[in-house]
Amino acid sequence: MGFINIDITKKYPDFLLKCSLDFNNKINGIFGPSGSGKSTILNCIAGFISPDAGSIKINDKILYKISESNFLRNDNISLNAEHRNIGYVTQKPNLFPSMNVDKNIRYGYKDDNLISVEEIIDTMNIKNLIHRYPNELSGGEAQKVSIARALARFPSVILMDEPVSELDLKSKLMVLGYLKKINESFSIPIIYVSHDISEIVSICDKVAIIEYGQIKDIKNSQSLAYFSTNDTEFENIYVINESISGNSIFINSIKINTLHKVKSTNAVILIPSTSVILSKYPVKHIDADNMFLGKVRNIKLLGSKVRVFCHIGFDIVSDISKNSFKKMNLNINDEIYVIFKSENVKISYI
Amino acid sequence: MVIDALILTIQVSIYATLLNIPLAILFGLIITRYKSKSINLTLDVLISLPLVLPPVLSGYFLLIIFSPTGFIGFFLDSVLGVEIVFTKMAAVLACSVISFPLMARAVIIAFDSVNRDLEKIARSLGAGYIRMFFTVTLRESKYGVIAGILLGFARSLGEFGATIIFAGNIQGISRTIPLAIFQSIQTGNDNDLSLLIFCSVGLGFLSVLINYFLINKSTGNNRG
Repeated sequence: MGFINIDITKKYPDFLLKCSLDFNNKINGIFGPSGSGKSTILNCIAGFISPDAGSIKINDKILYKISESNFLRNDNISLNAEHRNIGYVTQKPNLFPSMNVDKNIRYGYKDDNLISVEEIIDTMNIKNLIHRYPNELSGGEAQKVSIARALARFPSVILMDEPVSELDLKSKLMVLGYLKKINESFSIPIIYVSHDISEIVSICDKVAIIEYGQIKDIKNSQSLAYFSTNDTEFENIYVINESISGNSIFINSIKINTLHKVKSTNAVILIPSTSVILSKYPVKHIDADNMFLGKVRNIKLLGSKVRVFCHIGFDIVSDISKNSFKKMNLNINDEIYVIFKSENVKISYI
Repeated sequence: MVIDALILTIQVSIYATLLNIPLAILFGLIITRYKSKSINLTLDVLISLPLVLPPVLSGYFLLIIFSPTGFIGFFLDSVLGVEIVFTKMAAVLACSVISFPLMARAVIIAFDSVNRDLEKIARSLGAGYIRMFFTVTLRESKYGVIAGILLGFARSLGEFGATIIFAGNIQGISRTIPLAIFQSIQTGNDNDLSLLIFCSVGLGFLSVLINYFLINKSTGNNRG
């Protein structure tokens, strides 16, 4: 039995959601295309939509339990949204426009909370924003405040419905970093919904894949990368908090050279898959200062290109053309040199 | 006569507006938040009827309902000993019925413009329906709601047709500014007429001006 148990059905005239999930207390993902039922699951957990039948349990607290065979049973339970103690973060920050940041954060704060508002403000690094109004914040800042507001209730789980999909790259990486930090610092599980495979792979521990309202598979997030179904660019995202020195950072103790001096130990790194070069042989005199010997873990044909999943002490994805793939004659378990420029290592600090 | 009419008009309009506020909010919440199409259609028709019917006809319906033989009038008369027709209360009710559609429509638009995700988030943060309504729904729609209230008040100031049928044209009881203007025209009292017209135009102008600023503020607030 996991920390979060969901077993629900919800019928619409043209759609049937049938969902059975066991999630742990880390960051859990729900991945699927638009219209597959991801947000409906979150709305059912939060109590905004009532499923037709089933049960929702978080850390042994029953939020919803309705028997399909008998709607009038005495032990049926359906807690109102306000009694579920669940944090909810939407695609847009949705801060209360007429309240400043401080009031927004304190809206749901309970005096008996295990964490103080000040602690949350420190963790999210928003002390300089507390007197501002939502229309005076950038997208990334507003989303950080929105997460802080959900956190201030010390919820038993935080539901996140594509929270970074409307943010620019820098803000997106920053927010992803904070999610990891929140989960680790406060031990609050997160259910993270997205249709962006890179986001899910970078922060989630366990991922449910949903299509047409049905859970197709539950995987660990690294193996989900192989699930790529479209040829949009894959972003290798790494949330790190390891030691740094000068112009380098460490991912799983592997030293990566960066263009600029690294300013903080807490950062999120992005290496676009299209900027990762593969070679079967070591390359000398090349204008790229990151080269690692690794192994090919998986290969996937995606329309006009081939996605190659490599392991160099950490997982990294490279998108290459079909032509290059044929020339290189790549196979799974082949040894491979993975090369990328330091200027393609994008860093966002938490 | 002019001062009496002015005071009475403001009194009647304030009472009519106060009577309408809770109803307009209730109707606004049901129509914008309750998802039953048939109930919403029924309420929409009920709200719109006084807007499309001649005010004289609305006054006539009120007269029938509240006369001692009407189904509400009979109850009020026989059980409580209260008579409504041709009283100040009748003038208030007439103004209330005629101005209600304007207020209710503005409140519906104001509630409809509130982002539902804000309400969902408020509930996830532990707010029950009442706290959510006051801290989010009403707070975020306040300018639109106030503009609606003011619009209803302004409409009450000018109400004539339903009032004359249901409340009569009695000095100090139901002779509001519009009825006093009618009286002055009938009797050829030009001095009072000019003053009454000045008061009427002044009050109407002030209400519409405040309304304009509130609506501007409301749209500006939504943009922010």
